[in-house]
Amino acid sequence: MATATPSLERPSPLAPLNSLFSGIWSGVRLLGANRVGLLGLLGVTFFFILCFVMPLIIPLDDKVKIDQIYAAPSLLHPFGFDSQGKDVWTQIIHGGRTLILIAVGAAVLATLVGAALGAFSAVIGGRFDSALMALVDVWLTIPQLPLLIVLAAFIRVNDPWTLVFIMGLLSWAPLTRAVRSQVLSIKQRDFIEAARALDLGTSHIVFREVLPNMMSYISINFILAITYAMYFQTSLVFLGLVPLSGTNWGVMIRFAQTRGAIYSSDSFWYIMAPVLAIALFQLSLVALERGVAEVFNPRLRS
Amino acid sequence: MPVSNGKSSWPELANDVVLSVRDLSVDYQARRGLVKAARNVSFDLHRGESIALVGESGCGKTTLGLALVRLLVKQATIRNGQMLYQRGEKKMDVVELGQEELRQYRWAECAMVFQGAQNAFNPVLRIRDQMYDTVKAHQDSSKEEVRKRGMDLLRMVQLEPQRVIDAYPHELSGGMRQRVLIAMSLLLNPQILILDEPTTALDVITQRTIIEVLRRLKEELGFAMIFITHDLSVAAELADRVATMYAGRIIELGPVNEIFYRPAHPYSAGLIHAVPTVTGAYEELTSIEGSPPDLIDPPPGCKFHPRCGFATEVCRVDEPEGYGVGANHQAACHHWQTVRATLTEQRSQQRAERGLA
Amino acid sequence: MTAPILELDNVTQIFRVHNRPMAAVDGVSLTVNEGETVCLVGESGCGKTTMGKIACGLRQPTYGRVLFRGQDIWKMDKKAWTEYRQAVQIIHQDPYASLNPVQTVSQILSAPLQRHGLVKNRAQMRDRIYELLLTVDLTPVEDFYDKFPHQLSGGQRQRLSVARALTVNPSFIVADESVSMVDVSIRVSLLRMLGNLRDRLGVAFLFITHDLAIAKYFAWQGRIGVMYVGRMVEMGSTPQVVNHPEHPYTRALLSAVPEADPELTRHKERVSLRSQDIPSLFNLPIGCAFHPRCPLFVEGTCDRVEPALLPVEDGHTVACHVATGQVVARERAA
Repeated sequence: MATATPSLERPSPLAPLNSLFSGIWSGVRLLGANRVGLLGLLGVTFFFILCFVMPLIIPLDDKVKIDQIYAAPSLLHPFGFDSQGKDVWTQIIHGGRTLILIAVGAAVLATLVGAALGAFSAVIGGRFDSALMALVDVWLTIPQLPLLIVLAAFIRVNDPWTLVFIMGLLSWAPLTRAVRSQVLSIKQRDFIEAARALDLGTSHIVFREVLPNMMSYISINFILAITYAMYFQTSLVFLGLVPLSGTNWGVMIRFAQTRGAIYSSDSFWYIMAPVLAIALFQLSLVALERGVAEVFNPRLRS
Repeated sequence: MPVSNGKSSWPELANDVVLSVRDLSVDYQARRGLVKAARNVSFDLHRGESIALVGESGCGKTTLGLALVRLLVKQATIRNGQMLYQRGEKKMDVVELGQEELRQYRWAECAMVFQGAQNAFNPVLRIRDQMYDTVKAHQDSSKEEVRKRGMDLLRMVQLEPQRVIDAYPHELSGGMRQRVLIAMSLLLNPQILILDEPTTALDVITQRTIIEVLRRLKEELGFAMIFITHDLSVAAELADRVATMYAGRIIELGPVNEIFYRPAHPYSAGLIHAVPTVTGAYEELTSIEGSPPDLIDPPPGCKFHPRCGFATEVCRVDEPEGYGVGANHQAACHHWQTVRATLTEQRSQQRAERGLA
Repeated sequence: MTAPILELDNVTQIFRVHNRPMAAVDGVSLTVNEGETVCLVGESGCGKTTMGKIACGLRQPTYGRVLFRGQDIWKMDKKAWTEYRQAVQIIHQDPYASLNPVQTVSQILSAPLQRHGLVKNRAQMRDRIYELLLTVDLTPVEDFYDKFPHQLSGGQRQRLSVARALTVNPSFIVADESVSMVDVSIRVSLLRMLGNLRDRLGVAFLFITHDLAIAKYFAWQGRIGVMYVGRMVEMGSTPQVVNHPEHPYTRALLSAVPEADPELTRHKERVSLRSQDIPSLFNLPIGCAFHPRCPLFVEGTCDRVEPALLPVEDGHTVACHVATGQVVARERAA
């Protein structure tokens, strides 16, 4: 029927950009409204600045200074000095970057592989689905850390990328299973059927209908994957299964331990500083994860 | 109004009144503000009668039902009012009851069958054990006594007692479970039975069985019944009196035939005119334009005025109290005379056209 | 003579539940003509929803053919399929599950317009969406354009579902219990809107409902089919089926319906059934599936031979040995 439609106000050419900004802003606002989520966001931001910005300003203290071995913390050197008289604070600043990058890289890989396999498994179904799920079940029964240790012993881990690869591939299984069950349940929903009836196409259904409904789920799993990767990584470094090059929190703990720091009360800050850094970073991530669920809920967003 | 304290201020109640709800208001604390879910609701429930609480979603009917057994969610508060209950010498204001007294009041004096509860049985307990647990929570009874009473009640709700009492819930159909629930609610011989949407989500023939069962039970056992429904046809079947709720208030209360054939409130009339019947020729229906009001920030005056064809200036300013519009019939409408004159005529004409009058 | 817009020819849908086969629909045929309204009524589990899914091509029947304007939809080439896909749409029951919660009204409506190239530019898109919202009475349009589904009431969501179906200019709509979850006061206006689409745009409807009164109201000019455990038991024009039902099951249903008229509903003549139990689809009675409950049951026939749908008058068919005069019911015990 041809009813004359009064023309609506035309959108400005900046509209998409505006809506992107307002989307991000409303996300931050929601995260802020959740106290735990806000703390997580602040924590993660703090660690980002600490590990990626501060190293540009504050140089690493790698001079051995006999007179300052296990010197007590002071205003300029808040965590004191280590067994070689190097400043612990600058080591903390410089020791997070690789660790975090590798953890994030592994989490990205795990999330991509897990989400893709899970989605395919749910969409294709049948034998492929059964086979993949059987594999996941077997995989989940294998203890991850010992396997990682064995693997690390066989494969020469000489660059961060290999580590990313190994850790990423190791943690695909739980996410695959989780994503599959989510997609299966969303697939049953009437709006997917309506989209099929409208012939909107598979890619529209996957990327516009299914995935946006899983964003909170995926991002929660992504954040959790980062925390797992952090633990694995520090464990590996601590156990000495990956080369001890450079400064990093895991290496710091290992040095502190092997050089007898745990037997001396003077070295309290030397060993506690990297432990605290890791623990606080993990805590921030978990807190952020709690807030993220709300950011993706349209009920709370508008 | 001040809430009475204790039984000192017990007012005169007619002998056959089992529950007198007076000026009852319930609020919910929501994110956006205070939801006035029930506002100054008053009515008397008489021995052996059935009242249908009808209205659309969000009108406050379920809140009112839950308030009558004090099972409101914790965000809700009874703002003011009384619920005076009497059974012989036993007299109490349900609003004032403590936890232990309330536990005795529920089931033994006033039982409630919740919406969809037929799907909420404990799946690992046989019906007889569910019955025993229910009774045992309130009084000392032997398993044999409970079984016997349970079998009697199952027979009354037209189930095979032998088969059903030893069955697990999943062995029974939805309609059968609903009947088991009704039987269970009567185990302790309550004086009042409240049912929330007793026939919703059941198939037509099952619905019919439930209706017949309720009608017969009420006659045989003589309890009073309040049932909450959005379905006017169930009200037409089962109710002695109908209370229409809108925006938290009972806006019309009267005998069932009065409400259906001589409505005095445009909203009751609107609901009735919006429901098609199966028998007879085609009939044109009328819809109620607009949507139900926001209970946090309701319109001033009569809450129905934005949707009402009869509304005038006074309706926008002044919220009407219930006018006595006939024997036992109240309506909260400033223009009830006009409404009734117009709509009664229209209604009887329609019924005549369809060969019903 | 033009072909009907949709024809289900002897379709059967078999589901396997825990590896046991079960016929949700068993050899049902149904024709819907251009612009016609056909209602399917029956109780839960009778197969009416499955029929709807088969009609709109969301489910391929195990046996039987689905013809769209004379062409078998499961043997169509891509072009014909695209045409069918856009011509036949579905409106679901649950207004809370049928809309994607993360999309706004305008996103929901623009996706199909964009996908099928129904608009050329942004301005046209906006105008078209405006027009669609106007058609389904979601006005003022500006208030709805950027809303998320959860910000709308049940009735408004259902209107939005209709608008989404209308984006592709369908000529046939399957409405599956589309008004049963909305409030009474809004139901009539929704039905009236759907009726308008039928009268003004010539859209044909397969209207699926458990509510006989709604079926009667919406399909008074059309036809009603009554289903029982996967089979069609009666089919005829709405006045025939509603006012002169022939199948004992239809009679039982009609007599059981409570009506919003106290005098009428309390004095209705009831058909009493011999049993209350609906048979399991895994284990249907032999012969007429209704015979264990049927008040007209004739031993030796009804429990042996499955009755075919036979005409009892012009355009009115019934699957009952007794109603079609194949056998005579014996005097029933009082």
